[in-house]
Amino acid sequence: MKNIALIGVLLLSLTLSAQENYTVSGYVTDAATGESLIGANVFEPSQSLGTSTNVYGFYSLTLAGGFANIRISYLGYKEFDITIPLKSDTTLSFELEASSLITDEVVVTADSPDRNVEGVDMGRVDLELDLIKQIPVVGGEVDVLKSIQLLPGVQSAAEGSSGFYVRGGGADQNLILLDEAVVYNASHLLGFFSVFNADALKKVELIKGGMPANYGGRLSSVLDISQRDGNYKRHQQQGGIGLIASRITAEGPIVEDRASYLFSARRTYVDLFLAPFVRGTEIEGNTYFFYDLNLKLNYRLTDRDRIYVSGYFGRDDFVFNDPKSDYQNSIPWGNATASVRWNHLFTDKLFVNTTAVFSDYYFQYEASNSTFDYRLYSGVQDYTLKTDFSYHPNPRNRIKFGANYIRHIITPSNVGGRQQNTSFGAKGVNRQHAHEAAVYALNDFDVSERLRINAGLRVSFFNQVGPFDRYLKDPNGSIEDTVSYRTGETVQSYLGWEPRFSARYRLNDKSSVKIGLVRNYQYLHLVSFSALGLPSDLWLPSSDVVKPQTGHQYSVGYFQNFRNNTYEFSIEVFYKELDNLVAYKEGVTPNENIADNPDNNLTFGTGEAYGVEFFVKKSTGKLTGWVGYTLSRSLRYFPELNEGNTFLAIYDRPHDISIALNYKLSEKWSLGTVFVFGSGSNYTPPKSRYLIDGQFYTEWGPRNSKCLPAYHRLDLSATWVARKTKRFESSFVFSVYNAYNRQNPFFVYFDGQGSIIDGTYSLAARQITLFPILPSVTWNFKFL
Amino acid sequence: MKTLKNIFLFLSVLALSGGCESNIDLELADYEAKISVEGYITTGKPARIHLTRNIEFLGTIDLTNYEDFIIEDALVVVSNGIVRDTCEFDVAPGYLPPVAYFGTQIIGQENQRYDLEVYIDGKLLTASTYIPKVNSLDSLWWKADDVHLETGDSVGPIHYQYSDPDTLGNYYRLYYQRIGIDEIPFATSGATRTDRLVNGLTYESTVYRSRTYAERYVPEESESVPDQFRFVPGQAVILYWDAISSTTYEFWQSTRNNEASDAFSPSQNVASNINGGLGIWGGYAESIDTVYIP
Repeated sequence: MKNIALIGVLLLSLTLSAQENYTVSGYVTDAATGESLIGANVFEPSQSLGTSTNVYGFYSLTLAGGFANIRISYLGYKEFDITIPLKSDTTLSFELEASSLITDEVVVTADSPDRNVEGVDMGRVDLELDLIKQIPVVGGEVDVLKSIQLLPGVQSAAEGSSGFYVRGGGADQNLILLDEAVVYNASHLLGFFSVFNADALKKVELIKGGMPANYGGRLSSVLDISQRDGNYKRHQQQGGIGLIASRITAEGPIVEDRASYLFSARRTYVDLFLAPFVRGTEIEGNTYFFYDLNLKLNYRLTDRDRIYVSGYFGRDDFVFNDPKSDYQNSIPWGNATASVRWNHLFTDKLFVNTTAVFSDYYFQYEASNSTFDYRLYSGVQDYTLKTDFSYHPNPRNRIKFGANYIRHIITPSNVGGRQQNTSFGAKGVNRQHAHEAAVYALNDFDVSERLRINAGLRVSFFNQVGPFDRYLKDPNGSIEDTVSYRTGETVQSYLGWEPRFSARYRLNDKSSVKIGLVRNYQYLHLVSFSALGLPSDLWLPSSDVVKPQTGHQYSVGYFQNFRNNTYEFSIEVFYKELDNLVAYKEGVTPNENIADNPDNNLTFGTGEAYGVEFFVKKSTGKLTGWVGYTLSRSLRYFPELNEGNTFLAIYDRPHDISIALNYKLSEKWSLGTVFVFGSGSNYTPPKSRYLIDGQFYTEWGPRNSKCLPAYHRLDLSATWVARKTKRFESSFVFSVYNAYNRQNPFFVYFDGQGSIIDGTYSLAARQITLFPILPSVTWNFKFL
Repeated sequence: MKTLKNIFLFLSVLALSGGCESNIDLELADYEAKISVEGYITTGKPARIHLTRNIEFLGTIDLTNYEDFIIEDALVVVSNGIVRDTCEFDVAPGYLPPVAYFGTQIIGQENQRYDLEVYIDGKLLTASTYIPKVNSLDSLWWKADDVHLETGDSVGPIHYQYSDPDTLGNYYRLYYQRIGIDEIPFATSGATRTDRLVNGLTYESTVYRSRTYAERYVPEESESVPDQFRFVPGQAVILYWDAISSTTYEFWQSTRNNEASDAFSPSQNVASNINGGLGIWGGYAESIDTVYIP
């Protein structure tokens, strides 16, 4: 009944503002590069009507007939005004020139200056790449994911890790999109680096609160990353050489103003560094490297049709060849995504984007010697087709609707190998198959000058199908029967109704209050053996055993801008309920997916998270950046874990403060700093020891019931523009990570010394600190 | 996967930072006195049950003064549904602790369930286990694959061939005993095995030995193992090929992750089938072979 009422509201809102109006529509691009500008503000002051460009730079604004004065603004660009006689629907595209201000100001947001107050969305943060590139990070490697960890409500998985947790949700509950393709593992080298090469990116948007209905499949957040189109005007190259990796990007027109390309590559040289140092040591034979390739091609077919082809390919590869024996070990893993998108403008009011996406993540472990070889393979492959419509019937309504379909092919821990002359393992590849589909509609509409509502409904469907074998176990855990499903035969289906609602009430020009209520379904689950986010963690589909995760989030916030939108301030309070969460059973070791189902090792529970986030951001001027503080709690309850008692999530951090500031000293120099302070990580304390088979084992106490000392760290950076001409730019980024050498524990363990035979044995708690003070320098260059 | 995490941790630390290690004060959970049960009922043998008290986590351990934590005043009863066998406390030379409760009437048999009752400190601990059927190994042999670090002689693992029954869910635990060297059998390296990867196959595999108690705890013996956990010519090695239940298998498997309290794996309690206590009451169907290494 609730859902029917919601649809009613959507339809009723369409009847508002039925006047004699005409629509102006088109694209807003950068005059120098032709790059589309996302979120540019298009405004008609006399009618007080406006909109902003979408992710493709497209806008559509319906105005009363007559003369219309249209103002296009985008921070960092010269404001553009034009008066046009509006007697019919009109197509009008704009090329904005970069403002001279950009040379002496750092711009950290591209949005409408008052979007913080005006927009209906909550818990949404856009990060400009200009800012991300100035945040000091480990080894000087620009990192998108580490930057978003500095936002309130976002926790990192561990010291230096790119894994993140949003508002108490799990690591698998973040939908990470790169040009609309899902990225299943966004980390390199155990999470120390993200897979996103900042040189290839245009925009990073994080939605951690009221997820609109056009997004789905995850419970906690959306990290929507757009790659740059490439320069439509002229060829350009840029790159950088750092301590850990080097990168190069080339871009330019294929057909001037109609087609462009962008190619970007990055590779580490850890393997090259290590080679001379490990020779003759115990780890001789180890090599490790990762690389990323980004490619994008764009073609403006007509004024109404555009094609985008983009792809990402990244690999980590670890190889160990024991120089003393014939033992070899290889562990490659990585993501590949490819997306083809077609923008079509049916009318000036109706925009459609149709996307075909291929997404692949795989992890492999191979070990062999002359008598033995072992292979383990896990992976996820998605084939996605989706279409998204944007309809702007009148200035007060912004409607989106669409549908998507995903074919999931999931391979959890498929094994095979040989022992002496005997082959073992799965007969063929043991995959799990599923269909996931969704339809959605939402309307972002102005009920009055003060009240704006975004109401939507997403209906999702999931269907696990054969071929599939379900191993049934008796109470002792022994396999007692097997149920086999034929190809295409339904194993289990789920239907999810996902209403989404948010509203903004504008108190005055400078402040507003907002609420958000969302319900989400998640059909894929990441089962982790550690909090770190290892590449070996398993993605598993919902099944006859594993129900979809569901989440409800309720949030309310107060938003205010100061000093002509120079400062943004917000307080957001959230409460989140999570159901059907998955975890490994107590004492279970993850097994190969053979002669058993991986989900037979799982146990299921619920979660609860709540908190308040404070955020102050300064977007323009010599000093830019933000200060965020989060006070929160994240709890878990699994009947089969922790003796059935509620426990804190491993990444629960009651207090979390982040300060990220940049100061532009002069044309040549700018300074950056990051300070973070957070409650220490939770750990499970030991309780006692007991003897079994001549060895003492530990009885662990309540799960995650104690916490390590507080985590804090100060990072500094200075950027020196060494040379800047019309054709060439060169700059050095000097950074110091952990400037005061804080010994933050990465993990702790108990070290035993002495002998238990003579009573001299004693245990001491030890901590491993991963990153002491760590200076670095990176040289960046750009041929214009 | 342990290889994976060790290699990556080392590599990351070395390559990126040269991170450091130091002492830290950590809070512990409140101690709660419990009884640990290590009970075996093996085909052809009476039950053997070691009972000990758990100790405070940072408490002193002195195995020469094991009286501090052994239990010698419990009433231990093993039953097979027909006979109730009250066990007797006695010395158990070679074991740690070197005392145990031994059955006096019931001898372990295949395909038989056995219940355990322990009355101690006014409490009752109970457990139940099952001895499955065991199939013998097809053949065993020794083959050199390395050299002794001190003598330069050939050393190598024991190889075996086994025809696994075509019924999924067979679990094994392997023990070795070098005649004239080892007072008791010790679990081999990778002692707990399953047929999940080899169900219904005739296959070959290898057995390396693990540390004896002395090698583990006596400082002068623990520093180096010159035979590198292999077997040496001249030795006669008894290989105990024990079929176990899935519960017993899960227990021994879970001991592998118990101490892995680091960033890569969680602190996991060892599984237990003891109601009211810690540990395991396991049934073992034993097939014994001896390999004489020329």
